[in-house]
Amino acid sequence: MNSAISDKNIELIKSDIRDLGISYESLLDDILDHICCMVEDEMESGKDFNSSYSDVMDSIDKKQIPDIQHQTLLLLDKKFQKMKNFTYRFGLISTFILLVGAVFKRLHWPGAGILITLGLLFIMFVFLPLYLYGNYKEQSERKSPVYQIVGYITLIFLLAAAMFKIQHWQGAGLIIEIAMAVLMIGFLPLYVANAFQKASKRVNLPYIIMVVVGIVLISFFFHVRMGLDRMESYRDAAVENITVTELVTEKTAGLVKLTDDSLFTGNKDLVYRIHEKAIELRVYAEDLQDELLSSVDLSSLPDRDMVNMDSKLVPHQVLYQSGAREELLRKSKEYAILLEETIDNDLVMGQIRDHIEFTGKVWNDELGELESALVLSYYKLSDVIKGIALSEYVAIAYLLHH
Amino acid sequence: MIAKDLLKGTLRTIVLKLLADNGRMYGYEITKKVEELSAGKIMLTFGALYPVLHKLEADGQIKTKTEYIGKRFRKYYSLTEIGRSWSQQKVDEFFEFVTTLTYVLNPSPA
Repeated sequence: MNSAISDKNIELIKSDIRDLGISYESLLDDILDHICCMVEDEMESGKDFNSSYSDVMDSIDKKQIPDIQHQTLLLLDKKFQKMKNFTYRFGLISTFILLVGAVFKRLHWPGAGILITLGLLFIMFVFLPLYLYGNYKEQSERKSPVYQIVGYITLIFLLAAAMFKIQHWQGAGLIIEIAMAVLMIGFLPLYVANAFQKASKRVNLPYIIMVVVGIVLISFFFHVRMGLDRMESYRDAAVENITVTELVTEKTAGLVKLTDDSLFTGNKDLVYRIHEKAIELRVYAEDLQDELLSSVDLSSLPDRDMVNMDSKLVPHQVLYQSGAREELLRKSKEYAILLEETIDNDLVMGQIRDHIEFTGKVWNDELGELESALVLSYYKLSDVIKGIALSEYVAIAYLLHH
Repeated sequence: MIAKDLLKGTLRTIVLKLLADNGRMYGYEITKKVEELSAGKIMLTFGALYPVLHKLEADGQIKTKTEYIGKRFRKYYSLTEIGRSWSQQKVDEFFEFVTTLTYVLNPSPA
């Protein structure tokens, strides 16, 4: 072979490869032979060793050489491979549990909450850390893990927010706010910076998924469009409530008038106290309804055009952020206490309690925090107003006859 | 040139099949053979090849025989018995995959 490389030059190539970061002897032999073959091919065409060698080295992406050893060792690292297998299997199982939980939830079967919580906890605290750790280890150059850590924290908060929301646990709103803050201030800037830095390299899929999940969740919490038919049925229910309220208040007014009759011997003061309290409460709730509508430039419930009636931001501002919801609850409880103190008949009081049950749990659940669309909030308020009117009527009618 | 992504999962199959057809081969020979058989469309870099070779060796599917050729070692890779049956299986699997893919991507009019 006239194009053989001299022993001295083989030593040179060998030390060059070693300098590039290959220390694993078995791999070193492979690469040495490989490069020597490439150089010999070049020399066949009559070039001398030096120019052949430098041509060959130019054609190789030198940055990938330390990565070869890294990848080889990782492939041979049984423990690491096991961990990776475990990670993927665990991710699959967790997702499966989560999906089963979602199906259970839809069918209203018991155990849905436990399954969903378990699935999410597994994903948050087992799968994701293992996955990100594996990812981190697979990089040949040790980059700062800040990006991954911030990404992880963001995802944890987003998933926790979803979990709290689904389970109706307290504090969901706060967690969503934190998640959004971390996403906007922490993750997105880092992501954009990173994307610009390695614009040429391929985009990292997990992070795209992370961003998409974040954006989807946020839009889910704030802008879910409610179906037109649902909006219309809530509106119709609200209109019906308003009609009932009008009828009942008219009757109540008639009853109250009776107390002015000189023949009336009952407790006129009590009747008036309940009447005034009920009016105050109703007016407060009706003002909130008006505010809801005027916030989207409406003066009354729309007939057909339901634009903005599914807004979640408006109820959030008008009812929740302003503290009006708490105030309404406080006033309602005062009213409920007044009735409890006044009415001494259990049967009648039971009826009244049915009408004002919104002062308890229902109210907290259904007008809670961020979830109600405008039309739904409006309907719930009309329900509250109707309840007040009915309870007022029952109470005053009872007082008049006893 | 065929995109790396498409090749990623098939590299093992390619290596096993080449060794089944050609007996023993060394790394450079494998890359040359692949280049030749694919009419230059598949260029295996040694960065992709050697991790796979070492993995296959660790899994007991191929074995090596080292020869000293003037100041350097050349490692010849060949199939073990396990590797031989695996190789056939992998190739069959791959053809099935390609056939299926052809149906999906290029459905013939009914």
